Amino acid sequence: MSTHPAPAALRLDGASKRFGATIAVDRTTIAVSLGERLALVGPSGCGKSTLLRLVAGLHTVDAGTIEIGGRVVDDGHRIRLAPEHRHVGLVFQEHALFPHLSVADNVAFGLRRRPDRTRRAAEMLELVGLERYGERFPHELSGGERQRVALARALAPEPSLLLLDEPFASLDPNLRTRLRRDVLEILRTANTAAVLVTHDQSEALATGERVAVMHDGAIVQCDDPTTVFNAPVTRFVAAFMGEADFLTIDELALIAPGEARGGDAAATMMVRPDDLALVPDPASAAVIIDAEFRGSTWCYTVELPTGTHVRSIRSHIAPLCVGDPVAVQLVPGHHPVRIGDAAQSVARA
Amino acid sequence: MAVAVAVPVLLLAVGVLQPSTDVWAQQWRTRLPGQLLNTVVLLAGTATGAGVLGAGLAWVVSAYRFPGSRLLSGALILPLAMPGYILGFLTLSTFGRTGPIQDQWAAWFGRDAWFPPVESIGGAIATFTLVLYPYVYLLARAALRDQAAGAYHAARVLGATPGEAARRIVLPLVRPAIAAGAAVVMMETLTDFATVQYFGVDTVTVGVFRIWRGTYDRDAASEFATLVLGFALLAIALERIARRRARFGEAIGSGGGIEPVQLRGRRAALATTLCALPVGVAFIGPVTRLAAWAVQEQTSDRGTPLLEQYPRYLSHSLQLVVVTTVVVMAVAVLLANAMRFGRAGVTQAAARIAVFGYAVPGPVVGMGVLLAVVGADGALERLGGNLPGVAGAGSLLVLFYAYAVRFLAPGLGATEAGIDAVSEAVTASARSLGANPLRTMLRVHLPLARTSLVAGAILVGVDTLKELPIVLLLRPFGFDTLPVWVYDLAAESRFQQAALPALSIVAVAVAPVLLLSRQLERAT
Amino acid sequence: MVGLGALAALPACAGGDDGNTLHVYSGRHYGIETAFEQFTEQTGIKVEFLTGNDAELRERIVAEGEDTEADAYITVDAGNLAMGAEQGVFRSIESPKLAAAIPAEYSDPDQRWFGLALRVRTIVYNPDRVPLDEVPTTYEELAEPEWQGRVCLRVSTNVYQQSLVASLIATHGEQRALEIVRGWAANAEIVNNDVLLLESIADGICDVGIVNHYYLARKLEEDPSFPVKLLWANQDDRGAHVNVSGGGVTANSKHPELAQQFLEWLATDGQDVLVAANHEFPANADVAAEPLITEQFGLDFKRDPLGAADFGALNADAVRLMDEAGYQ
Repeated sequence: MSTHPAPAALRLDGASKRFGATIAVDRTTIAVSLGERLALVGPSGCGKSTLLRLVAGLHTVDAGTIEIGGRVVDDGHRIRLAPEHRHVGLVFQEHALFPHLSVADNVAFGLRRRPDRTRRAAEMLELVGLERYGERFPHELSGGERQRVALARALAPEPSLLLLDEPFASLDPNLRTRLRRDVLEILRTANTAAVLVTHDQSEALATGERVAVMHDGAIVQCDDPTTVFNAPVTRFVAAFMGEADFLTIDELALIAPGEARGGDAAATMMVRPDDLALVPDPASAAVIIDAEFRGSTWCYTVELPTGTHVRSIRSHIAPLCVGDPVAVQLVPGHHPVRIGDAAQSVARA
Repeated sequence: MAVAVAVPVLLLAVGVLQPSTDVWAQQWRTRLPGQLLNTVVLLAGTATGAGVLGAGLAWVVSAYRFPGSRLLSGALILPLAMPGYILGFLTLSTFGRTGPIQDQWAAWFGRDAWFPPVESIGGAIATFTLVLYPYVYLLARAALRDQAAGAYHAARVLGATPGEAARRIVLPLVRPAIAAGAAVVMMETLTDFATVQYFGVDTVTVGVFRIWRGTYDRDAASEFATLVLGFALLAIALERIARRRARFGEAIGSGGGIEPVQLRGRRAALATTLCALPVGVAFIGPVTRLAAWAVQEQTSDRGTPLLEQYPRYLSHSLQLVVVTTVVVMAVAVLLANAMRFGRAGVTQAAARIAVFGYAVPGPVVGMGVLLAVVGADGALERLGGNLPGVAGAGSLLVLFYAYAVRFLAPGLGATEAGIDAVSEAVTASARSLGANPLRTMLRVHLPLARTSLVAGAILVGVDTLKELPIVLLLRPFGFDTLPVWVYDLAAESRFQQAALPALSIVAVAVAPVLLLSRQLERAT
Repeated sequence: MVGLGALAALPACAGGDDGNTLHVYSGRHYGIETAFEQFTEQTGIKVEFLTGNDAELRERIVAEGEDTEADAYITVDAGNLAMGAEQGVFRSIESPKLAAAIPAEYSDPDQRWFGLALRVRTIVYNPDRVPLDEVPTTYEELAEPEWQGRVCLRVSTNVYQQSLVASLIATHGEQRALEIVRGWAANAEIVNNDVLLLESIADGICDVGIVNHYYLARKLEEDPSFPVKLLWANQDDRGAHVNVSGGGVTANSKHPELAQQFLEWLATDGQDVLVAANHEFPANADVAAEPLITEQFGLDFKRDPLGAADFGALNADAVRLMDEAGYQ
């Protein structure tokens, strides 16, 4: 799209890939700076894994270019660098350790030509906290340990870019959170640029310095986590990144006349459950139709007189009941977000 | 490489472009309808027979424990060591009308007492079933252990009896494996032209040889050979469909196998008998009879000189087996890896075509190779380069080439299965860690696919050991093998004298066949 | 590694060409080795040979063309020999020795191949089930309805049966031959080989049949009380059908003089050893048949004078005729 003088760990420019009639990746342009962590999030089948495989060289682009560390590795016709020459690290959901090699040999696999391979492998195992596991075999490890080995193995050759494909998806929730924190720490220590693919929005928000949301083969929005969450550019992003309800200006006027004033009559406004407060009000035409207990909070679904549903969370103290009429109010300091209809947002450099 | 393997088979198809209409008309008026019917009946009967027997036995040895079950589960694949052409003449000489069984029967019940007609398509189906069921048995046993065990246990927990669980849950799950085995059985049946003739069954394949050798019309014969190819296509299509379904089928459970139920009393005796019967009829019985004949022949005054030739024949057979196996497996490994690395669709297409070599009778492959090599030699000479003895017919290289064409399919099948089992992510990891395709193949794919590779190599080796028509047609002077020895004697109807070489083929094949069983036992 | 080692070691056993080695392709399988050994002993010429299916060996010689190693092709059955001549496998040779030794009716009129040993395809019967005076005396008689269900005949893929039918065509013409073969097909139990056929007659499955004489000789050698007897066919008209096994010098032979010497030897000094192993009749009238067949069958019988080349050329017609007749 435009030339960027700054060196980037990864740059995709109009990259496209189709399989038969299906367009898996559609003219995608995105860049990851050195040392930056990008979380690539989207529902399954949105093309994020294909994008990752294009970068790794497991597929080649039909059009557009891919640059890694300032070098074009795939331009769709002449240049098609094989995966082994791209110097990227890959970590898979299923770990993909070599079952016939010991942990140390797994980690040393990519260090073939280095004289210090043994030492480097040991260092990497130390980095992931598995220094005493070198002699073991993959089947003797737990899921979390295997993932650490996979990470150590991918990082050992000091790749300029690390690609992680749903790295935590196969782990149980507690282990997942802990390992996620560890991996972030390791990545920070190694100062390696990384692209982390996930279908879990909270994981994306927690791990990415920037979050790219992908939908139907295209990147819809790419911003820092708070912007993506707070200022989604499309209804899809808004709904995918967190619980969201959508109101017309007229509906919003019923709740927060001040916010609606002067708004475009055709605009869609997003409110998240924590934006709204409920006050019991027998005179109100809005009624609670569902209540879901979430431990520290309750989430209520309210039907507005217009028939639209909105959700609101409220402390678990003093619960309301289904059927109660309530007044819906905007929590002070919170603002509804106007959802623009931009089809696609362009990534920042 | 795949193209080189495919050429001889393609040469065959070219003949169809100029059909010998009068031969087709004459054959259609006389024998062809019967041959088509016989072929269909023979294929369907053998596939069904081998399917039911192979899958049934696999179920019995997987789901139950009974006296001898461990031993029998291995022994049940022994019939693989028995070439069909040997079991054919043994069956006839034992159960046929002039054999001892029917003589005894007549002595007991009178000469007109009914006895199942052995010299019939039924007899041929029974013989093929007994020789070929191990292909189904092997695949079904593996599928039972790796895929069906979890579902079986789930069904039992839900209250199904073992029989119900087997019928409603296990059978549908292992059906693709049974179908794949049945496809191999059909191809082996289709390529046979010797055994069927013992039983007087006129198939399309027999028709090809009748036209070729009887009317000397090679063009018409190769056209009729495409009919054989048509049947082969059906079998291959069946296998492909079965495999695709198998791939989508998700394994339930960890594949630890079905926990066998201990049988006691009459049921245990029944199970033991059931499993011992095929081993006895298709292996121990024939081997005993061969041994008796061999002893009888070698102790008689005219048999002895044959023994002098023995080491030579044996060593030629072994050399042929070793080299063919190495060559075929090397080609298979390279092709399977090329497909994994997605090098080109062309590789895949050629590999698919090459597989036809397995579905075409040996002499047809032999002629195809002969014509291809002679053609290449002629072209080379015109270009000024002559390679006497290397590119010419009758060299060992040509022989190995023909074997590669003939037996690439079982080697490639096993290798593909082994490499398919290596997750794509493992390949991708190795590549992104800087390993090029060659290193990925050597360091990752081959060690992981080792079991399948050994299994494939054994299948190729045993097939090569038993193979007759190609070595007969293409061998160099003096390179006689055990099957050639059998042929020389059997062609003159000297079956008893053929006993010793026949027995040697079986003896040499037994060790690898047992190894195959062990290897698959260990695989998970 | 083992494989490559073997590969490197192999060409040694393929045999070299020292100028004094004869290479023979043989569709004849049994007992030829002894004949080759004696030839080497007597002449000092080494022989390397390759056995195989007749038709395929012929195809191989044709395909190999000028590069063929084969100096001589020997095979069984006149049909095979005639086809070899037609395909250009043989060269025509002038040999006074062969001409003197082998009667003209057993060889190619153009001297491309020579019959060396004779096999008579004739009628056999079970004397316990058919008294001698009721045994059919001609091939044609076996097609009569009275023999329905009592005859065993060999399968139509067999070259000897094909040649017999070819001789019927040569004698009677297509029309009459078709009637006879139809009659056979209606009457007969089709059997896979001559040995099985003899055993079927011995076991009483059928009463009469047609075989090559030496199969019965072989059975009688093993068991002198084997309950099947032989009857020379068509003694009151043309005589019994005689087929040959023989050979010729290949068109592209590198050592035609050695090959010719070999054939001449087989037709003279080598006759005994060639025929004895298989109980055949010598083609050379000066050579005595072995005692076993002389005693069992006698030599005094009328042979169909039809030339081997004549019925050999009709082989393909015979196969088609059997198809038409529904002869399995």
